[in-house]
Amino acid sequence: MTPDNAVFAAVAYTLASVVYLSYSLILVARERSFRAKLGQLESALRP
Amino acid sequence: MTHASATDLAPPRRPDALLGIALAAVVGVYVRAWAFTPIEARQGAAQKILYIHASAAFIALYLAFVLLAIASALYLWLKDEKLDRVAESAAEVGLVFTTVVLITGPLWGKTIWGAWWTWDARLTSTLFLWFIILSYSMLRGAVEDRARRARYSAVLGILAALLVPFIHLSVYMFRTLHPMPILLKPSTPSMSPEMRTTFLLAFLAFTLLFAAFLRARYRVATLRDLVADLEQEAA
Repeated sequence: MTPDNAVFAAVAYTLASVVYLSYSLILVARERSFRAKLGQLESALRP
Repeated sequence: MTHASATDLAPPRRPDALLGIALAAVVGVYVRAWAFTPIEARQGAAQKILYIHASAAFIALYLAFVLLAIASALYLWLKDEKLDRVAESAAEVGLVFTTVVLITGPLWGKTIWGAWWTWDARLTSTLFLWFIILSYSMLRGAVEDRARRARYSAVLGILAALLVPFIHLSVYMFRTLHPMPILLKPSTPSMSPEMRTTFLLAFLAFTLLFAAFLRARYRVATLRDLVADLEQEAA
């Protein structure tokens, strides 16, 4: 008989999505942060 | 470096289309795996974890950490900072994929083996590699001098990647609960054609995601180094 364990697969897919989406957002945030910092430094060095 | 050259060297600011396409491809694979791929009779729906678990493992071990080793070795030879950035990006993205492997594996294991975890060769060595890559990231954060950081990291990156062949062969060398490869083996893959297609599509989608992450992470590393150069100039 086929076991009823879909909840394990659902949890696995959900957690994997959380990891990938979180990392995507972290990368976007880090890039924005460094771009902002780069802009600030350039305007400070070149008034 | 002049002030203008920092702007010139910075990667162009535009929406990351590759990341968007890769995430959409992963969503497509999720839909195919859940709605259009049959449930395996003996394992039940938990067998669908294969599509995300094995893809992540393959990408982490054979793409990310092999790239880490190659870029690290080339850095030690050529001393090109771009190679160090590739290595650090591959390590971090590989860590993300290995994290997915270590999260999804126990969920699958519980349904098949009745246990979340077993200290067998494959699982233990994968966890060990995860810790080594984590320590690689911590090492990078701890060493300030850029050249020294790159040199130390390159050595640790190569040592970490030496675990990959051991992890691959562990299921053959030791008695382990972890199954042998079901697709990448000399004989015919033990999967139905629909499952095989879903697995191959998952592998392609996650490879695209790996490429998108790697490119975005490399961009972050480039911007960070430009900021560090300007901070040094301002000091």
